[in-house]
Amino acid sequence: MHFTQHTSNANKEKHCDEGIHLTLKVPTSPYPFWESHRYYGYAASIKKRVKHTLVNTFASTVFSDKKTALPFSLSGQYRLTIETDIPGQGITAIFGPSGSGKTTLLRCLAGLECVPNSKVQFKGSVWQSPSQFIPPNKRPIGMVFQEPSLFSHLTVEENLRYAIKRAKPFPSHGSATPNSEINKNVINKKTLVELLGIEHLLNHNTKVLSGGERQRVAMARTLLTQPQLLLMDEPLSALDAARKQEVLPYLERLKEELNIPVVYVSHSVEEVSRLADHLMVIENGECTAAGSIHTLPLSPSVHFQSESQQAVIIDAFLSERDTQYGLIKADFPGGHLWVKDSGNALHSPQRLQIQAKDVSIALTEPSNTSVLNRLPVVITEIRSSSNAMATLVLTIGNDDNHSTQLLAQVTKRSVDNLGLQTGMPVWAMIKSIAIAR
Amino acid sequence: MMTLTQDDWTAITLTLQLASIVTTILLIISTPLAWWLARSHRWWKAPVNALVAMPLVLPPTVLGFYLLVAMGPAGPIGHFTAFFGMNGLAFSFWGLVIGSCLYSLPFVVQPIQNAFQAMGNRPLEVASTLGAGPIDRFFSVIFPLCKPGFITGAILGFAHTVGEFGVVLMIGGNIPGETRVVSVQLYDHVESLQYDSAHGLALILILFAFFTLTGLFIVQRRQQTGMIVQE
Repeated sequence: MHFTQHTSNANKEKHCDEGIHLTLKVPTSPYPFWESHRYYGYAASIKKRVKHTLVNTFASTVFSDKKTALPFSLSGQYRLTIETDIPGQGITAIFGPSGSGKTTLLRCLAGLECVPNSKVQFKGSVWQSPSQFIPPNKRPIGMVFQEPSLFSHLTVEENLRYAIKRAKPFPSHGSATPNSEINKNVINKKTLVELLGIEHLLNHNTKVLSGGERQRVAMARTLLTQPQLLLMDEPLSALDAARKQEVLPYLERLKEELNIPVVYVSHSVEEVSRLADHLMVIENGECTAAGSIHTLPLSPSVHFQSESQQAVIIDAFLSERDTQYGLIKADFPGGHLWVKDSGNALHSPQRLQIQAKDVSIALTEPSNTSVLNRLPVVITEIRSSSNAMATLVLTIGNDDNHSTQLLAQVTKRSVDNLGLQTGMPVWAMIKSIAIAR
Repeated sequence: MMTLTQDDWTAITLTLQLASIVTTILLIISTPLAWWLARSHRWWKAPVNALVAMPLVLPPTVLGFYLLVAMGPAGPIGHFTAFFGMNGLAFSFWGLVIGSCLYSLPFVVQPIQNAFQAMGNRPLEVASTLGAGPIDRFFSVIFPLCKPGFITGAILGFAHTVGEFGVVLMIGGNIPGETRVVSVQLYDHVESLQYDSAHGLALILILFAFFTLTGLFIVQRRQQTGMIVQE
């Protein structure tokens, strides 16, 4: 499967303007995109069509943006106020409780909501500014909705062809050579249909498909428009637990196979820890935290997980197999762990999740214990969380660029009994490790 | 018993001609109007909705009367046509077309409007994120998904125009081959006590109405089962 070259090359070419910049002020009732003229007037679209002509001057003088004075700004009520940057690579999870504005953010990014006084910029090209609004059909995006939303008047195959016919050409990003021919089939139908396991459904009517199948078809359809940015709005939340487990592996395969930045809205900790590279937490219409999935769960202000579920996510690399005991060695910066062999290939990446409550502390190297994974660590921070418990931030490995952090949850009494202090070298015993992927 | 004269056939042809033209015009007018009524949040949507629906409750003679006045030589439409050197629209086929369009408007607008509302915004959003522009969206998504609404509207508009009597009598009069439609012809037969001919035309109208409505309910049932399966 070789449809990743272009995007990676493109990423190398663009040293600046890599990611997505967003400045959003979303009122409580924004207009749908087909009424964008209410904010931008017809001038914006007219201007676009007759660029570099005399009419341009005429349009801007005659239809100057009279409509930017907006009634609701007087009330000052916003559903979402955000100014942020989203990385142009990997999966960024927008995480937060229901009604926090996650979906609104995604819809603004897609251009489905037309919001004034806002700015959306993707890799240097402006999608929305106070004077300009690019409608969704002209943005190089793909969107997977919460409900599969297949066209019921078309078969599965026709749904896919609908997307292929309208595949979005890659914008030139200011470079003079539009290399659309090379990119036209970056994601080809055959590979994708195999990847998502929907080849046997192609001739079916969409109405006979199960929820999971529909969502997989919807994903294929979205990807076939050759998007440069994939937006996913809780794609698994409409599915029951079993269907979710059916679709998640496909999502992970997509992540490995395609090199498109993804913005993934979710309120599920499980999905986020399995898929995300970056995390953005939204609460009450504001971004409360943003950062890498590996470091963000360490910061105390993040309500990403409830206290009892605090966990870190480590991206490890499988290096050695112990066939006698059915274990596999997972290397990560600063150390290694032995985990249950789940049959994944050697030399492949493996995401591990270690819960804070599964990590305990010993002052000396524990020798007579059943715990297999014992690591020398340094306490970098002691945080008293609730009444009885304290959370320790532990660093494995002494080199700054070559270390990994862990969380451990212990009682405050143990902190005092052992005399634990910041900077102290101790041993961490890890009782269980979840294989997140 | 059934004896159709040459005049009867002329009336039937004229009626079908009128109904076809009116249905075509109405489908073209109603689509944007129904879209606006289904999507707009403006306050004047309610009055516009009422205006469109008014022929449903108004006696046809009221509409016919005002149209007659407006199209007459002293009315605004009359002035307009006179200014451009055209004949008056009153007592003409095209006057009848205008009257029928107004009178059958709600029967075409409302099914289409309902279909637009039932469809929701999601298919449009999906289509646009897949790269479909506004016109593309209409033909590739809106029209196929709302086809039953369009069919219902067309059938009702056509059938209602065929069955119209009051407006025709008011603004069309009774000119053979020009404004004498089936319903007026039937009225003439009864007036002149030609019950045999009246029977013939009445039976044709009854059969027409029956089969049209049967067809309509088949379309609607298919639409409903389609929706159930979709869920």
